[in-house]
Amino acid sequence: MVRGLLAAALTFAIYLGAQATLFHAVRIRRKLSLMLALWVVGGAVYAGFFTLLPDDAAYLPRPLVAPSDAVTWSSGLFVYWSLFSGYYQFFNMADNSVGVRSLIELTRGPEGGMTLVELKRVYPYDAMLGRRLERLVEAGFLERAGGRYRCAPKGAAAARTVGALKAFLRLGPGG
Amino acid sequence: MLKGVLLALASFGVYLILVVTLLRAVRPERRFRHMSRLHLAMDGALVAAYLLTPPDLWIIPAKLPRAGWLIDLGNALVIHTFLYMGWSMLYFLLDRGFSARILIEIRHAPGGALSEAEVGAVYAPDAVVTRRLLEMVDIGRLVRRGERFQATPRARLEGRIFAFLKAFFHLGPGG
Repeated sequence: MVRGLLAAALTFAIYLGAQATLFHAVRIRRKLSLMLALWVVGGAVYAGFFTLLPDDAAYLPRPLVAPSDAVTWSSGLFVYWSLFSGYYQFFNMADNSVGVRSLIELTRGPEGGMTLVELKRVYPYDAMLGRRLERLVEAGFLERAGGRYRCAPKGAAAARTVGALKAFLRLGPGG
Repeated sequence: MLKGVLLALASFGVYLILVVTLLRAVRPERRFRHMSRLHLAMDGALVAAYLLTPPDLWIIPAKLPRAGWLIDLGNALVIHTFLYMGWSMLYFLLDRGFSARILIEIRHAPGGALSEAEVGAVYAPDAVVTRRLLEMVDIGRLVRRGERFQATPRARLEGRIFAFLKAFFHLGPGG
């Protein structure tokens, strides 16, 4: 299993380096698509590492040795996927989170803090709604006609699913 | 190898049942805190189950090669933690997803369509920002003094890190 975990960790480190270099060098528009594409390429790198790394039994004590079978291979791949999805969540938070943007503005603001009115001057958050509506149109969740927005079939399905889960878990309207 | 994976999956299954019961029946105020503590408790239960059950778990065929106990248990805990992280992501999407809430509001609107101003009327950006700020007060990142929100030293550090990441990846102000 150490073989699978090591292969996953090494592949993710390479993924991180490639993603950071690419995003720093070029202004990316479709971020998730590119990150997913990089992850898929990383799958081949994972398979390569798994093949090249030595068997656990060759250098580890008995309690740390696992057979290099399909379970170990799949387990490592799951770890690689989980590292990616955890990182994507963090990245998305840095990119879009209302809380993070508010925190950054408060950090840049006066030592004594800011009121909501002062925060709104540096973070005109009415615009956040327009930005999200545009993004939902671009992604095919909404359709716009004459200044009004309507759910596309994909958006209606997403709204139904999320609405049902919210109701099932009694989370309230949220957002 | 299979023993740890099976126990991790079983433990996470029990965790999900308990979380759904907690959310539906108890409806606690600090949901995520309760969910995190429950996960920690399930980590303990997973370790106990691993130590108390036979290597074949009564169902694993004897011909399958076995892994060392330490790596098997460690891998089980890693998988268990990543499953919990995945669930947390889904939970935050359901509870706080800004875009998901917009889709739900538009889908439920009379005629199934809304203008940007109408979306803003049923789902006010001011309320979104206020909720995020109050949550940060709750977790100790901000201090509220009357109408002012002040960042703690830890929040300032986090704000600077996020600002650096946004600049490094050319993400724009976001939020």
